[in-house]
Amino acid sequence: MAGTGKTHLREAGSTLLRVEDLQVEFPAKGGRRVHAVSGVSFDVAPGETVGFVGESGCGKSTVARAVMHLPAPNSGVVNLDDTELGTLSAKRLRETRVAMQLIFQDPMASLNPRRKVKDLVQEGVEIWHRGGDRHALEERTRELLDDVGLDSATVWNRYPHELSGGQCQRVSIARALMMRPSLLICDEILASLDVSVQSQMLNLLKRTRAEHGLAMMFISHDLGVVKNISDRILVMYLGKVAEVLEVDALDRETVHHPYTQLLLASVPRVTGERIKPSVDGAAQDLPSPLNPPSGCRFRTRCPLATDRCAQEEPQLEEKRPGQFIACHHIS
Amino acid sequence: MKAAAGKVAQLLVVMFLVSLGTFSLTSLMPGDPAVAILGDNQSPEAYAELRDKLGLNEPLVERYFTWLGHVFQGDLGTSMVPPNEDVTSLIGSAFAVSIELAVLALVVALVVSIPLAMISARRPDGLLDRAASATTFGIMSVPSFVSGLVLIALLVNQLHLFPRVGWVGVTDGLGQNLYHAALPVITIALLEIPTFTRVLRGDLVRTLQEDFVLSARAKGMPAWRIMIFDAFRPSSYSLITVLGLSLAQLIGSTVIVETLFSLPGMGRLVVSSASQGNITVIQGAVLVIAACYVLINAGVDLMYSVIDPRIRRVGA
Amino acid sequence: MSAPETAALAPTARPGRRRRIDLLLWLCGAWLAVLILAAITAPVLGLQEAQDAAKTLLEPVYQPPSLGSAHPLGTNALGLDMLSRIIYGARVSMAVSISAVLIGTFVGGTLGVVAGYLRGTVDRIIGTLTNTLLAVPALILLIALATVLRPSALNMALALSLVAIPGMIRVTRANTLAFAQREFVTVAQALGAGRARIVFRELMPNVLLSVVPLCLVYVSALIVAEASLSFLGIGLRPPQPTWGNMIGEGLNGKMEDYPHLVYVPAAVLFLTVFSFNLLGERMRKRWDKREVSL
Repeated sequence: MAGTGKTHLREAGSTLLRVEDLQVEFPAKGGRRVHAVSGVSFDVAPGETVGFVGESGCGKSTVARAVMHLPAPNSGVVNLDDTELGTLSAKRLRETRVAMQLIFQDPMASLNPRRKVKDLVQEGVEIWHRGGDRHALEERTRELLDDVGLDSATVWNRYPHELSGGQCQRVSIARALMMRPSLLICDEILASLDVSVQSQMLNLLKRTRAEHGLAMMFISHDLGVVKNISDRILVMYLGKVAEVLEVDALDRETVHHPYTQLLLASVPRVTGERIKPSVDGAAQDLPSPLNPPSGCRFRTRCPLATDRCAQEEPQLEEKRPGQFIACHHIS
Repeated sequence: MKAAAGKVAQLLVVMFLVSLGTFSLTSLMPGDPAVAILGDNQSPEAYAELRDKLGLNEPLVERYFTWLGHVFQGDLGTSMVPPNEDVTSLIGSAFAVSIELAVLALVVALVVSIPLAMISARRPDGLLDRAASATTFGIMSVPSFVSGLVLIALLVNQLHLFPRVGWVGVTDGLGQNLYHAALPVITIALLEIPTFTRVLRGDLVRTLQEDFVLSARAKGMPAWRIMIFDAFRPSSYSLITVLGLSLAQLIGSTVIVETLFSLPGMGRLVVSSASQGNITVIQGAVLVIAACYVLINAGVDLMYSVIDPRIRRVGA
Repeated sequence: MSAPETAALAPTARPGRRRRIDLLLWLCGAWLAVLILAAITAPVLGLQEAQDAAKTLLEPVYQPPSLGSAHPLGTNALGLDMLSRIIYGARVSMAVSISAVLIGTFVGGTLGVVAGYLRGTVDRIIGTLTNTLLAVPALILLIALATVLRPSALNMALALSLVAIPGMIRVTRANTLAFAQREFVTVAQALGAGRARIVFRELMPNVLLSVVPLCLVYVSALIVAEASLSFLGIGLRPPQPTWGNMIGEGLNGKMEDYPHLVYVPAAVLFLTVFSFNLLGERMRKRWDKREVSL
């Protein structure tokens, strides 16, 4: 699996973000290269939420940063509202990508420890001097802080280390919303939060998405969470896309990419029975991205793998309506 | 191997820069160096002769390479002050004294700080640990000329244990040599004991929390055995780094002690040359000491790869 | 949406520390405050003569300390008042050391942040410079410079700053590397911040703050270095009083008969160095703790 291909991309005019053949490599010791992302394509329609799911190390966070050009990908095309980011000057790039905002996993590390909440939230506006009058700016800041579930009067002059993880994450969301983005990129933003806070945060995201008409890239290792919030899901494995599907296809269809099967099997289900033990292959580690397997990158862990999988890389094909799978053995 | 070559190259560059800095000391001198050295009541011929001897009439770059060429042949020039001795031999005899002091001080410091660190690490934040940490912290704030004076007042003036001043070479009997070296060595060692103890204690405490120590303890091994045979070696890396750095710094620290006890070492040579404006001796001394530092550090790097074949030391 | 979470803003309580240690910290702080205050206001304190031996011809010489007398800390060989010399010495020592640390922090900090942020060739060049400065032991470097430079306070501060620069470069560089990887820098870029803003608004405040404990330790180290030079007779020279040359006066056999000549300045030097060290150490510990909790 772990294929390339663009058959799942929709018509160019209808999408907010269109990413083609994204490749990211990092130099490693001894002149080797880490193949973090190898030919990933996807698109996001306005107001749509696309979930990215896969094990840690599969390159999903790298995709998020590459989309922002922080740092720029080694190759590939990122089109935001029909503007190709790679062709822009540094200044234009900074202006353009403000329409996309990032929220990270570690809520504390995402906030400058030497800044108060009010300054953190107003930082972007301050950079672009588009605040208008002080009073209106402050009002809008307070409004957004209240919106994300913080008491603006209480947190206004606090420093990040005086807040809880959940509160910091809310500050990050408010700060992102200040820029009136059209796309919000959430990179594992629930992973470091308590389960009870996670569900609050999911509800907050859904409400915010509706109120601000946001598109989202929602990145998580947890298929359950991704399923809950996404319209479409991209399953990634070792820098490639294994499967792209609409969220209702996840349970409706019984045939999936073997890797998706593996992820599905590892989602605990409360059915009254005991949680099913993980299937074969789940226990194995991810192969090294320094030296990824030839052909289908999943073949070393795949129960269906044959010689063909080592020779030939599978392409994403629409195997069922709304379900694209990159696998030689699924028809 | 490639990394080693890079290291060597960097060391060479460092030495080159040090030599450049050392050489340009003369040009930092305000006014005419000849006047600065001889004072201003000499005959014009004397100034001219000195200027010529300093090579001040040649262009700067040329002078530098001439000087460097001499240095490579082991010729550091002659002293500016009568009886105009050969700088290389001056430094040679002084260097032996300083090295002896530095090495002895290092040994004394290790003999004191290793057991002290082990006792402290035994029960972190226990009574002994707190006492040791308070003492070392206090000692750290005592400049060596103060601790030297206190030791003199106590051990020489009150108890008459050691000679006040003077030096006897090893060639005139090891006993007398050590007798005269004792107080200076203790004074210098006092500078290093706090650092060594703190560094080793910190690493020991960390090592003692590791699983292999716990399992050894679970097997019923006595704590002191674990400390000496299991925990010490893996905890000694930072100590070795500090050791390498301090051996070179120690040659600097001997300056004070040699003055205090009137010992004929590098420090005293440097200090007396400094007050006489004897720049060639200073230049030679700086070069020799810097070369020591560079070589010792190269040695320390080498030692890592012997002790720990993985050399997985990220950052320094 | 989450009223309970908002309500439960964590109070910034710190675990109570032992009182004895707090007391020590306060004593050190108080000592430094008094010393610095006295040093600043020295000319208006109505002190006895500190420098001009011609004015003290009628004063007793080698008077031992006696708190009730006109010379609470005694007098020296020339009848100069020790208390007054200590305070004027503090003026010099503090001014020289603190300005040297400020120069060192500014120069070293800038080089360190630049090296850590730009990496690559610039980093390597700055690294080699750092190693070169470190290759000559501090005291030897200072003596070498003292050989060729006039012993003025400004030259002294400049020379001492060279001692602080390499350490500052290393620490600020390491801190910059650590901070530059934090997500808040990436977020700032996403918000549209340019390079200069990242360096000065995001990195600098964090890096410089983390260097404050080191600055305090350097102040104490440089006070010692300056005193060492004066003690060796190659720093600031008498009659200008400094703690180092005051201790140096006590050498040459006078210490045995008049120990206060040495003990008074030595005690002051120790207390000051100890206080700066303790302040730096305590601050570092507290910061480390907070870094962990972040």
